[in-house]
Amino acid sequence: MSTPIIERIKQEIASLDTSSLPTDIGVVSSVGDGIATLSGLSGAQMMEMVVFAATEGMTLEQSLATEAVLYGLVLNLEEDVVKVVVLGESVLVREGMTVHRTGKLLSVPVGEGIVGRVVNALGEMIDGKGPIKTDRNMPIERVAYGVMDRSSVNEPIHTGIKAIDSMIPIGRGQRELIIGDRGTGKTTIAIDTIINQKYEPAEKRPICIYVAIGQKRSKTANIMAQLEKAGAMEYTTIIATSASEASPLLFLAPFTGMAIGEYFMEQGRDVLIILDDLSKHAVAYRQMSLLLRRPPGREAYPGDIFYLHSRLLERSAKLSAELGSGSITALPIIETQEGDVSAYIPTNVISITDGQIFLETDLFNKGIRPALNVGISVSRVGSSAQTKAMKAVAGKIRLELAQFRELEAFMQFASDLDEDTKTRIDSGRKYVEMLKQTQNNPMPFYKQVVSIYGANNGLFDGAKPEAVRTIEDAYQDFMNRDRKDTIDAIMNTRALSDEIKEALNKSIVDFKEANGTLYTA
Amino acid sequence: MEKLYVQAVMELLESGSAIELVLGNLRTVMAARGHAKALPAVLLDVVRALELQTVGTVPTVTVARASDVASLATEIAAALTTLGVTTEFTTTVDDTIIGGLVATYNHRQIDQSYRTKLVTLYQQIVSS
Repeated sequence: MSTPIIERIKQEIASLDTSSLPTDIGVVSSVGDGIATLSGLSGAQMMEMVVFAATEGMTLEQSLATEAVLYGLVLNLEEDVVKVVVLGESVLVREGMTVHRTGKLLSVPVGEGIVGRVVNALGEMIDGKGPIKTDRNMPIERVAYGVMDRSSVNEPIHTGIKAIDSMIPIGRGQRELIIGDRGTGKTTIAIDTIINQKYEPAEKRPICIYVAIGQKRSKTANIMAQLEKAGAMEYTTIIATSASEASPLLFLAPFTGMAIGEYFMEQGRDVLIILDDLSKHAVAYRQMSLLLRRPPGREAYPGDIFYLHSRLLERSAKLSAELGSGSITALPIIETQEGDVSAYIPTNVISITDGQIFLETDLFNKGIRPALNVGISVSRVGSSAQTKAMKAVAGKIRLELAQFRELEAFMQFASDLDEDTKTRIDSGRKYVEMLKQTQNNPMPFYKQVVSIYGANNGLFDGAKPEAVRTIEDAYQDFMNRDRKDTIDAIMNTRALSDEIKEALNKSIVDFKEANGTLYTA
Repeated sequence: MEKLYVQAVMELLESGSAIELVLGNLRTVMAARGHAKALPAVLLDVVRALELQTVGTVPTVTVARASDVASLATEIAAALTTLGVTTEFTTTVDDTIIGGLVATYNHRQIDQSYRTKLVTLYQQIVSS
């Protein structure tokens, strides 16, 4: 080809815009276990993003084929060197490789387009649905809102689980820990809560963020399928980090979730964030800290493990009316070993959160699901957020169940018990049956109110405990079919007026008359 | 073990000890301790450490062809002035940068290579 044409093309390339300003560079002096030691980045800041020149020495074709930019995160500033965690495949980092400062603290791109998508810990899409349209970058690490910027928790977030919404109510802006051994249904409660949000009116429906920290990819795929099947993905974002990813990415995932949540909260929207789970998060942080040669403390966790979780969960808030009244409700999950809630990480997170939902293996194995121990599960701020209708019916359950637990041990002597004790045990067993719920089957609050009101007012009188769930299902069908106006009244007013109570009482009588066979079976 | 030998050699060199003396003593000490087999690895690591110390501290201009130094003289001078270079610079030739120049001094870099320009253009196109 003629020289003038080549020269013209070269001019075109030379005119392409790249910064003519100098950038600070460093050099990798050692790398191992996902940690790179750099010399020369004397101006670097903590939590600053750096870019490894992974394409250095490559041809243009090879550079273009290497799609992803390899980032690092500055985590240790030492006298002569800077220690950086590699946010990606550390095998690509070589000794002597050039590293560029970006001058930006680690941030994630966010926007409306992120809802309904699956992203990694850096906010990059991993669902193959194309680029995500974003509006701005949100810093991953950020100081939580101050006291004057917040308002008290006064609106409920319904989980759709009768036992929780009635006895351990959660408010918007609250941090409620879900704690229990493996296989006790912790994630199920979280997923049911997300699914239940579809029953909320669109303007009140929170954006849901599920953060999978070091989970098996198969589990995350399964959760995504459940949410898609239930139609819940359209208001949900999944941040997925798998067990095979580098520990820094696991460490960042919940902070990324919070940053995305804050974007929506600042627009006056409500957000529900599930952190599944913080035990694995603590382990990832321990691994990273030990590799960074930070001094180990109790159980080899670094000294700032409490601060790590407290600064994360403190970002969950209910903002004041001046700031738009948005909120982030956090449901962190902790996995215990052999039910030991007095271990280091569980006690830390228990003390940070506003209550805990404690799940027990024994209850799970007895078929009581959700396997909730209502005796030691609490919600410290949620009761002020409970709807009036739920508050009106829920008081009696706690009392009945507390009495039942006291008398439960005497059940084996059933034939020798007095009538009063037998009645109390029978009533308790019926409440336990009524509170059972299957997976992926959350119940909107107005239906819960109807069931619990029924249980308190003789719906199950004369029935065997085994028949309770059949009767409840039939009663819900009956109400939905023949007394829709009463259900609508509870849904709209969120309270139990005398007229509604009267209508419910009449419905119980009418249902029992029409369905006598259910009580004799 | 090698790391400790490297650290010792680096400290001695930084304190101004003569290279011949340091190398002689290193050989003697390692032989006396039965570590003579590790001498090549230690020497290699010392060279690497010394090279790393000089990376970015010597003014360097990378071009795609040796002849580009003359044809890009104005651009090179401007880049070196921005970086505050007042001394002579070293030239390296790297044909993977295709054209243009990369100037480095004192842990600062100006990258005006064609490869970076094309990669940036590609990334802008695919991300929009």
